[in-house]
Amino acid sequence: MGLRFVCEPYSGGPKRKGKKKSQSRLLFEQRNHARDPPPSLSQATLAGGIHFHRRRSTAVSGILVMEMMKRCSDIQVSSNRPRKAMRIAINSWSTILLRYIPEDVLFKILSWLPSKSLIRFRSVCKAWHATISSSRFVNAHLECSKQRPSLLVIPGSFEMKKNGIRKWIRSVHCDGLLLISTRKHKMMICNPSTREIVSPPEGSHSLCGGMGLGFGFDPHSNKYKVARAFYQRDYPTTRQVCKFEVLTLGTDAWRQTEDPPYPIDRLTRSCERSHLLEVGHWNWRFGPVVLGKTLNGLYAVLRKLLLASNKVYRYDIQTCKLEKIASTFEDFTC
Amino acid sequence: MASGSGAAAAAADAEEKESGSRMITLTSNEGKAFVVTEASARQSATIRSMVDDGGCVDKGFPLPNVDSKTLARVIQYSDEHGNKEPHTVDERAALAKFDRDFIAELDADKAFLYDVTMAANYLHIQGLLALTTQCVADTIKGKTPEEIRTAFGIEYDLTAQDEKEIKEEDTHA
Repeated sequence: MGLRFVCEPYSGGPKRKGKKKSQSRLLFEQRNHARDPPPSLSQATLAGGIHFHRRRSTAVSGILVMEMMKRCSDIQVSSNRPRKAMRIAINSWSTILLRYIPEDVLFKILSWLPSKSLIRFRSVCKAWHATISSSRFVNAHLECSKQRPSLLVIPGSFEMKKNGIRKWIRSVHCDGLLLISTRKHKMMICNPSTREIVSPPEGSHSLCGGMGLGFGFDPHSNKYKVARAFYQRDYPTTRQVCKFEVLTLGTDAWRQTEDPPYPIDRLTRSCERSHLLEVGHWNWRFGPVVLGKTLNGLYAVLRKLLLASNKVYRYDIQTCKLEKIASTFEDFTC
Repeated sequence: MASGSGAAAAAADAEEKESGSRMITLTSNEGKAFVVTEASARQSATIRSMVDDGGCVDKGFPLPNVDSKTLARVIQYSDEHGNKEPHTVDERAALAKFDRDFIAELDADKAFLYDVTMAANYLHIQGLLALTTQCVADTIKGKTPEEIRTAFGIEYDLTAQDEKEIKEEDTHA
């Protein structure tokens, strides 16, 4: 079986041409090579894809995201049965489902559906729309998705020639949401399954890029939070100091917290809602930092850093305090 | 009072120990009796709470909403999950295989799948309900909203305004 990438409407596909919503939607479908050789990725298809993403978020360049979406969608549909076979089956199942289905059973059925179907099924009727949009359903769907995980492979770095994200640092994720940050501190949070992209407000200016970034869910406030370390010059000493700020998604201002005791290298763990974040903590490593420029007092700074190397600190989202954890860095990276 | 509750607790303990071997009778709506182990019956939260509330275990439990064919299949599931506790990797794999085969058989007969789903819902057997609803979800996931409305007998009640809003949500997403 091979994967092909098409932009609807296309000639060999299911009869959806008349539908309003499907005009510009990308569809990735699994096909049998032998029966239906995939067409090559045409210019027109590619252009359609870019247009699609620009429409969603003009702030970010589309191609990288499109690549990512493509990967994601490929994986998502890879277990689908061929569409044709499902269509033949429709007559046998439709009459059965006409029987009464209690609301809670329907809720459970919907919870198992992939996001792509749910987006489509919002326009079934008012009741379905209300159910699918409710936060209770979103949580239930997340739980079900965890039981049937799908794999998303993201390239570690990506280089674009024009208009793109020249480099992006390691993305972090939480509950299937991806947080991607460019070296220029532009951030986007993307939900690959619904193809939604939001761009949080830019954080404080940093003297060097690609520093620690964290993304997690705070069960106390029931909100997602983004944390980042950045470097500023301290006056009058003119030394670079590491600062730290947190953004609660849904608000539009970064909140600066106490300064970390050591410069932050990168986050080790930021995503496992069930694991570390259950107690409302983010964990990361403080380690040697390679700064872009030579600093005054470099030696002293480095010694301090080496002592702190491989120690794991914990940042409490609620109290905004840092504390050292006895465990080593390796415990968190298995 | 204190001694009374102590005795009750002791009795409950004894009951607990005994419960593994105790048999429970479930009666389908056709009056057919099925004898199952208590461990198997406890897969159903409905029966579990009745047993724990001191329901008349000896007389058995009539299940007026479940027919014999469905009950037999439900018991097949709860026997497998209730009587065995998977400890090793192999045992867990065997149980997972049982689930796969179980649902594959039901998938072939959608009317029966519906019956088993309803029974699992009525008896509150979470594992079985998850299995069957997942199977239904897999069936409907590729359908269009029109097909869904036809299949579920849903009347189209979205106004033009609603349609527009949904479309906008899509665009802004």
